[in-house]
Amino acid sequence: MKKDISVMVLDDEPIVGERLQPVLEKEGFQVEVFTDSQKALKRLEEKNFQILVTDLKMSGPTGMDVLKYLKDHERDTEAIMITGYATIERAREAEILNARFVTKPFKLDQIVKLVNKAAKKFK
Amino acid sequence: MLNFLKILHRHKKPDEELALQFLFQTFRELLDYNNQALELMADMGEKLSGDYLFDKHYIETIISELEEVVYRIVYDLNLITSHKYIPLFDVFERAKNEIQGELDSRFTIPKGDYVYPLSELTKEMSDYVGEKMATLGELQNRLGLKVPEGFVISTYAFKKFIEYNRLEEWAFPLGEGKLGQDVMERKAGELKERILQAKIPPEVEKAMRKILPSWKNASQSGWAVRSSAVGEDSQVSYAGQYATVLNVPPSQIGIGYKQVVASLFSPQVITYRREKNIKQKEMAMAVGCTPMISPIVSGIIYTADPTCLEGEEVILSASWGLGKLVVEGEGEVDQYKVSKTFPYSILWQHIGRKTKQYALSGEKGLSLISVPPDKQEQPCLNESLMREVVEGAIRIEQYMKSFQDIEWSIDQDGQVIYLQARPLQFSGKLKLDKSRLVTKAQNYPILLKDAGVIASRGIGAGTVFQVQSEEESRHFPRGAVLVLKRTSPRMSRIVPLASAVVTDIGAVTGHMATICREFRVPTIVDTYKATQILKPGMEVTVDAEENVIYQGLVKELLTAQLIEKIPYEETYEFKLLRRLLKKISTLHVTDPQANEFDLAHCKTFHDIIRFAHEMAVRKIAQGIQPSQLSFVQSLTKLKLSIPLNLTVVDIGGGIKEGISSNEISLEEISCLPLQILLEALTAPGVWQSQPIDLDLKGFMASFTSKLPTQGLSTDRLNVNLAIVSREYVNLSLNLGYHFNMVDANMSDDRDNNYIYFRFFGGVTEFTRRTRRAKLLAQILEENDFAVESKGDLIIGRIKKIDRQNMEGKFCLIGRLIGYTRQLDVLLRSEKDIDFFADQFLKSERELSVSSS
Repeated sequence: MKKDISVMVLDDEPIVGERLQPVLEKEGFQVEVFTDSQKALKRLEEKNFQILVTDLKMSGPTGMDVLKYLKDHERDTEAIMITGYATIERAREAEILNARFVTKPFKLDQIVKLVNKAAKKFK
Repeated sequence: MLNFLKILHRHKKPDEELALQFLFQTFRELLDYNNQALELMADMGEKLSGDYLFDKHYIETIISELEEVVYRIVYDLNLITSHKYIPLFDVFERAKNEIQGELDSRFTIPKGDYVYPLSELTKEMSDYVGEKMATLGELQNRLGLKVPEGFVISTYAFKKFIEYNRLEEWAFPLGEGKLGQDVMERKAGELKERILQAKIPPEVEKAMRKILPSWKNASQSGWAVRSSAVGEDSQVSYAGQYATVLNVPPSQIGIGYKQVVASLFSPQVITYRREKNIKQKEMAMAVGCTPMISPIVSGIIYTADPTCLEGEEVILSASWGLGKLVVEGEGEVDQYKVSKTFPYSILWQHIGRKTKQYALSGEKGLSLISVPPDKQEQPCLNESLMREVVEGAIRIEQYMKSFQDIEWSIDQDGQVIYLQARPLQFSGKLKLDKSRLVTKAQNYPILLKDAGVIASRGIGAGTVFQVQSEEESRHFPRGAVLVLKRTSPRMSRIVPLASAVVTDIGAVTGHMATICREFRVPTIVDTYKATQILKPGMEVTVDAEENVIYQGLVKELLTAQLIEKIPYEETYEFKLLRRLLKKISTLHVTDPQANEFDLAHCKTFHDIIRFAHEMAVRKIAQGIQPSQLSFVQSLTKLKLSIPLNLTVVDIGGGIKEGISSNEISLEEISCLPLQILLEALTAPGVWQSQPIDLDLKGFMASFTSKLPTQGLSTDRLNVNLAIVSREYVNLSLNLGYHFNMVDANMSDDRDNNYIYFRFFGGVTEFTRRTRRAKLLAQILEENDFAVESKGDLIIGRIKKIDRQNMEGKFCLIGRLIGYTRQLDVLLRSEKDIDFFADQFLKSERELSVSSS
């Protein structure tokens, strides 16, 4: 059941969470939105999210730092990294850390598909 | 500015010294930039469709790309015209500064006028005048419904008011909503006091003083001063949260203004914003001022029962006098449920005992007075007035694409006036079973399915109205489905009147598609056959969600879309992009034939692009000066079976590699458009070469027979020129007294494809030459070209069609040049125009049948 799958959306641009939350909730996921990566890391200490949708470049810890945290703590979280600053190096880095990579702006459908695909792992 | 003037001067040479290659390469570059600019604008438009997620970084990046490209267009235009349009750089700078101003401002309230008369407002002005007043303007100016007169003190005036009184440090933290409850309440109280004590900036006062006398009769009576905040009456209603001051004398409108502005920051509003999770940082209040009316009856209408949205009825309540009693639910009123279908019969009614009514009191404010006993139990609406109220409300619902909550009044003259319209609020738990409604739609006959591309999402229904000329567009009835051969910026004017738009040809990236999205008019383009299938007068439903067009009015689908909420339209990024795009894409220079098509009327980037494109094409269309030929090092002649005397100048990939001869054959040309055109022109029977005094019979025989074309005299023919690259051709054919010019590009990317065909001249007198122009116009229009003609000059244009279609058009142009070359001689009367046009079109059809 999708409602058992929790998704963290992390982006310091509030619009990302504002738009993704209703769309993902409509798909049946439990969604928590963060605009502050420090707070998001704190929440990750308390809760294991199955899916993370995160921005790359943020003030404070970056999306890459969050991915590293998940790797260091051996979480099985499926990560999707979204960013407007796409470079091949970044994409490769994200791949190494087992994340999918999407550049802004993107179609909402695209993220929904990726999240649904990621969710299959937990069914 | 100085820098690029210097750069330009380095290039400065007299016009005749410009090398041909350079001229054409620059022209090609300009066209590329032109396409890039249009693509970028289309990209921004697409992002407003709601399907995408974008942030401010995207907006900044795309704006910076666009600035670069538009700059290059201006630069290139000046290169090819010997710097004739240097002032266009100033236009560019001004437009750029205005865009940057929007981007940099923390306070994104747009710069505009301080006051606007209601008669000038439309929905897209909501950032300037707030939602409530913009909606009223829309009802009046686009739907033709009666609304109060008056004016709005704009959000820009509000910004000035806050700045003039240095209230930002109180206003911003409240807007951000991060303060604790106690602090917030204290700050809100302080701010309210400051606002009430504040001064209206002199320039705003002046604007108000200037506009007030426009309502001479009302200048002595009372005015209603109402809130029209940004975001109010949208999907979040703020119903009853803001102040309204009724029946104030004109001299006290300023006091009323401050009361309404102060209510923007009341603790209730701040709490409401927090509860509704409204994250928009800035708050802005426009204020509507309307002369009070003293209505006979007032009331409210809901276009659906908020507890059962699928019902086929509207709910209406009414009472005597002003509407306050109904709005605030004080005392008994008349209540009705009325069918939503014509003739709107009453399904249920309750006539209340109406003992009190609100009326204007002598000097100021309202008073509650007694209703005369004989009127207390009398219904306050007769059936005909009720029908009128309901009919208008349903129109508003269909236009706004959401269930509506509408305030209305009947004035002393018995006219229905709509005072306010906003989306009906209903329980979030109440959900329509959309899939069931969509399933029901499948019972309707399908006229077109997946035939084109969706350019603007949504569902619209109405009667088909086909428009083929500007004249016909003037008769376009409101609410009809607009069916066109092709999208055209000239049809943009009627887009807001249409319930849906369908075209045979057109691109999602076109200007008209952008307008359709802006007005949320469901649009499907590129169906190839809409004009054949959607016949005038047919009732159809255009589902531009699923790309289906149904026969008949599919009520289920129309109902399903009324509950779709679109909160993304309220986000800061969306509004910023929409506002920027409006600043960028508004077109002031549309018609190249109009006097206004000049530098002075260029204001936006889109104007610059349009103007530069036209001027560049005109420059190329002037043709080649003989002196310019001396700059071409090696001229290559093309061997043809007809005496064209054609010189080919290759500007990149137009001639097959490894060819060094000065005389080449058609097979050695790799410029496909030229090849196709010349193959068609040199095909047997096309190049009309008989003596021109033939009788008709003889002429037709010559046209259809396979005559040898060798041995003809070439001495009358001048040097003709084709500038080619692999995909591009600029062909100037000077055939005796007939001047043809074709400038065209053909590639796999339809957005880069176009043909510009110009023809003028002839050996006969002006009348006959004009007849030939008419004949050409008829044939070109029949083949989807947009045609302009002036006397014996004719210009046909077509663009954005796919490669296969383009090939057909090049064949057509080739045959047309051959067919009409000396035809003016034979056009002895107007009737001959139709005869020869039909003849040509018939042979075209036969050719297309035989080739398929």
